[in-house]
Amino acid sequence: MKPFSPEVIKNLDLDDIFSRIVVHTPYGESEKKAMTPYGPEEATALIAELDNVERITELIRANRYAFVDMRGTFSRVKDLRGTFLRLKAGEVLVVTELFEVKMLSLTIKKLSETAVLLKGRLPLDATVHALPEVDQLLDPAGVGTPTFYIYDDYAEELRGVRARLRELEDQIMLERKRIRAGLEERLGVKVRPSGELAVGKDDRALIERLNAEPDLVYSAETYVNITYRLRGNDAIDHMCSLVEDLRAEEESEEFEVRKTLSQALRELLPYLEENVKAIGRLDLLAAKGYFAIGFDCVRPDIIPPKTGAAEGLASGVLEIFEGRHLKVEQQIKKAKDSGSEGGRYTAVSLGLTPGVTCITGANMGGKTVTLKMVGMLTAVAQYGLFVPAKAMRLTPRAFIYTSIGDLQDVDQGLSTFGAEILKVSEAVKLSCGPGLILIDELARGTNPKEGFAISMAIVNHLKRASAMTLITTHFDGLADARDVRHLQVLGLSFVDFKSVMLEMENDPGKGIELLKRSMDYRLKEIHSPEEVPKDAIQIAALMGLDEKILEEARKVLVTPRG
Amino acid sequence: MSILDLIRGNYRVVSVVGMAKNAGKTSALNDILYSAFDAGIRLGLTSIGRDGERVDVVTCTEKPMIYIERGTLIATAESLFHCSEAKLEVLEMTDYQSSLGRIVIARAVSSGNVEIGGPVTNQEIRAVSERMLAFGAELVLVDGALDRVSSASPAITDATILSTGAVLSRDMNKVIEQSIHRVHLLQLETLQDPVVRLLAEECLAERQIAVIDDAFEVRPVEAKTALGAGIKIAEVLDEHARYIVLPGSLVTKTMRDLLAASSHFKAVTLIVRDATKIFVDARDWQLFKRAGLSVKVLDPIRVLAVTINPYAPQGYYFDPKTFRRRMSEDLRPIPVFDVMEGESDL
Repeated sequence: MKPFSPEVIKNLDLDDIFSRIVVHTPYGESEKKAMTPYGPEEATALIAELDNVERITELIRANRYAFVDMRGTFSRVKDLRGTFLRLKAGEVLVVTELFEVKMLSLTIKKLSETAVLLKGRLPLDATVHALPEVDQLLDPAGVGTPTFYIYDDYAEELRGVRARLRELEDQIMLERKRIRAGLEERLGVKVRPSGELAVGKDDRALIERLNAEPDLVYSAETYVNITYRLRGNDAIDHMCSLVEDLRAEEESEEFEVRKTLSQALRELLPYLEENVKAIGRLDLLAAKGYFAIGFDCVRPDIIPPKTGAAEGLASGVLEIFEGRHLKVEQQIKKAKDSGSEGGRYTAVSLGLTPGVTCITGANMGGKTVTLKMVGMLTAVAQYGLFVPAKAMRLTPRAFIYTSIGDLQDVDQGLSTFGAEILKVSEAVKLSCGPGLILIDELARGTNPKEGFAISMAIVNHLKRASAMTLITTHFDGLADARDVRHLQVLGLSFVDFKSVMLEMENDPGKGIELLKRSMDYRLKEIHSPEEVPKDAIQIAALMGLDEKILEEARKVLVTPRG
Repeated sequence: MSILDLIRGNYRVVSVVGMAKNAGKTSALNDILYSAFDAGIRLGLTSIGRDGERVDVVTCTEKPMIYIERGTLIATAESLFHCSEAKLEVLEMTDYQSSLGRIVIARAVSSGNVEIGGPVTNQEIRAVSERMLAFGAELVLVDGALDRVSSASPAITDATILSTGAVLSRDMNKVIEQSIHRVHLLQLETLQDPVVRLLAEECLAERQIAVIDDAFEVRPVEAKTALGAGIKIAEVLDEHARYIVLPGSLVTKTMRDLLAASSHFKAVTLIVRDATKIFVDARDWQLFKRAGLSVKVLDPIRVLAVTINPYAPQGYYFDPKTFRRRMSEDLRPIPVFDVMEGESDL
C-alpha cells in the first residue's frame, strides 16, 4: 500500500508515534524509514508481521536481560554499506575497513548467540547467523581479540619478512645501545636517548676527543654548541639498508594479503548483507516490541476483507475498545508527572461500519481527539504495530483521508470553507473504495442553514459508499438522518450542575479544571432522534462568561429571533 | 633528572604546548618519547587536532613524523593512519570525526614513524586518552596547541609542559618576559565559589556574555563578538556587579574599554574558560592589574615544566647557560629544561 500523505501523517500525529519507535543501528533506521502501511490486500502479511511483534514482545518480557544486552550490542553496530559497495566494485579494502568487517562479524556472532539463547524463537528474517568463515578470515589464529592487523599467519612470506625485520631492528638497537654505553663510559658524557650529544664549544678538550671518536659523527653546530650524533658502523649501515628493502617487501606482501582477504570477503558478501538486513529487522522488531510494552498496547485483531463479495458491496470492521490518543495521553501524563494539576485520560470505545457515523456532543467533549484517535490507531495497526487500546478489530483500510483542523489555505487564496469543500470533494471521489474518511466539523465555515444542506447532501452520498466515514458535527439533524449511526459524547449529562456551580462560586478561577473533571469523554450510541443535551451555555458559564450575558442567551434560546 | 622523571607516577595525561612554531615543542616531545622508550614505559600518543586541517593523501607530508617504538599506542585520524610507516594494529574505530577522518586507536606492532592528528574537542581528547590508558598505556602524551585555531585546550590534560625559545624575539629579556607572562597566565587563580562556577558554566554553554552581581543575578550582555564587548559590558556594570563571564577570548581591547567606560571594575572579576583564551600581552596585563582588574579561570592548567630552545631559525641565538639560568630564577619552582642540551638546571 502506498504511504499515507504528509497531511494524514501530520493530522494523525504519526511522527509522534514514529519518534517512540526507537532503533539503535543504522540498518534498523533504514528498515524504519522503509516502513509502509499494509493495505487490505496485504492482510495476510500484516497478520504475519503482528505474529512477529507478538512473539518479540513475549520474548522481551521473558528475557529482559538478553534484550538490554542486545541493545548494547546494537549501539556498537556501524554502517558498513560503503565498504560493501567498495567490495562489490572490486576494490581492495584497507586495514581499518577490514577491522570494521571483523567487528561486524563479532557482532553478528554475539547476536547469533542471543538468537540461540532465545531458543530460535526469533522470526526467521530477524535471525542473525554467525559467519565463522569471516571470523576465521580476519582472525586467522582464532584468538578472538577485537583488534585487527595484517597478521603474520596470513602468509609464510610475510612471516619470514617480518621475522627478519624484527631481528634486524633488534640487532640495530642492541648495537646502538652497546656503542652508546661504550661511549658514555669512555668519555664520561651522557648521550641522549635519541642518540645525540651536544657540547659547548668552550670545552675544547672534549671536542678534540669527540672529533677523534669513531663512533660519533658531527651533526649540527650553533655558535656555542656542536651536536654529535651516534654513528652507526658498517654493520649498522648494512642492516639499515636491509631494513629499507624488507619494509618495501613487507608492504607489497601486505597488499597481496589484503587483496586475497578482499576477494574472499567479496564471495561472502551476500551472507554479510543478509545478516545486516536481519540486524535491521531485529532492531526494528525489538523497537516495535518495546513500543507495545512501553505504551500498554494490544495486538489488533485483523479481519481480512471478505473475498468473493460482489463488487461494491460494503464490508469490513473497525472496532476500538478503550482506545487512547497516544500523544494526548502522554502529554497529560507528563503534566501530571511534573506536578502540575493534571487530569486523567479517558479511553474511548467505538465501532465504525461502512457508511457514515457521526459524533455529536458538547464543546470541549473531545470529539476531535476521538476522531484523530480512530485514524491514529488504524494507521498504527496497519504499520504492523500494536495499538494503544484494550482491544481493536480492524479490516485494513485501503486509504485514510482526513479533513481536520484549520484548513484555511492562504497560499491558494482559499477561505476555511473553500479549502474544506476542496478536501471533501476529494473524499467523495475516493469514497467508493474501502477506506477511512475522517471529517472534523463538516461545513462549519459557512452559514448554518446552507451548511446543513450541504452537509446533509454529502452525508447522503457517503452513507452509501464503501468507505467508512466518521464525522464530528454540531448539526443534530445530520446525525439523525436515516442510515447514519449517531454517537454522542456523554459530556456533562450526568453532572449535577448546581453543585459544580457552587464549587465554582468558592473559587471562580477553577472553571476549566472543573469542566475537565466533570466532562465524560465516552460515547453512547443514539438510536432514535431525541433532544440532544445543550451544554454550550453551561460550559460558557463554567468558563466564566458574564452572568447577564448568559441570562440573555437563555432567553434567546427559548424565543428564537426575539 | 629528565622531564619524564617529573611526569612518571604523578600524571597520566600530559600535554606539550609551544609558545610559537620552532619554540622546541617537537624536541621536548621527542625527549620525553625517547626517555620513555629507553625506560620501557608504554606510551599513548595523540594530538589536539584542528578544524579544517588537510592532508595530502598521496605524499602524507604535511605533518612532521614522530618515531614510535613497538607497543606504543596512538590515536590518530584515519587518513594519517594509512600513511604511517610503523605497522599498526587497529584497536578501535571511534565515532570522533576530524577533517582528516575518524579517529583510530591503534597499537604499533613494529617501530617506525607515524603522523598524529587527533580529535578536535576537549571531551574527545580526554576520551581517547582514557581509552589508551584502558588499552594499557602507562602515560598519554598530547601534542597540544596554544592558539585560537584549536578549540581544544591543554586544560583537559593533567599537566602541561610549555615550550618556549629564542624564536619569540631577538631580545632575550623580551623572550623571558613573554614566557613568564604566559606561565603566569596559565597558572591564573581558579574560580572556587561553586555557585558562581555553576552560573558561569551556564553562560559559557550558551556562549552568553554576562555580568553576575552580588545577589547572584545573571545580567546578559548583548554583544555578538568579544571585540567591542567591553563598552557593552561597562554599560551593565554598577556597584553591585561582581563577575563578568566571557565565553570567547579575552583581548586587550575589551579590558581597555572596560577601564575607560566604567568606574566599577575594581570589585569585579573577569571569568574565562581557561588561560588559553587570554590574548593580552605582558605590558598591558601589568597595567590592568595595577588598575585593579582581576581575572580568574574555570579550568586550571598545571605547568609541570618549561623547555627552552636558545636557538632561533632566523640564525641568532642566546647563550644557553645564561638563558636557562635566568629563566630558572624567574620561574622557580617550575623546572626549566634546555631541549638542545637535554639537562635541567635543578
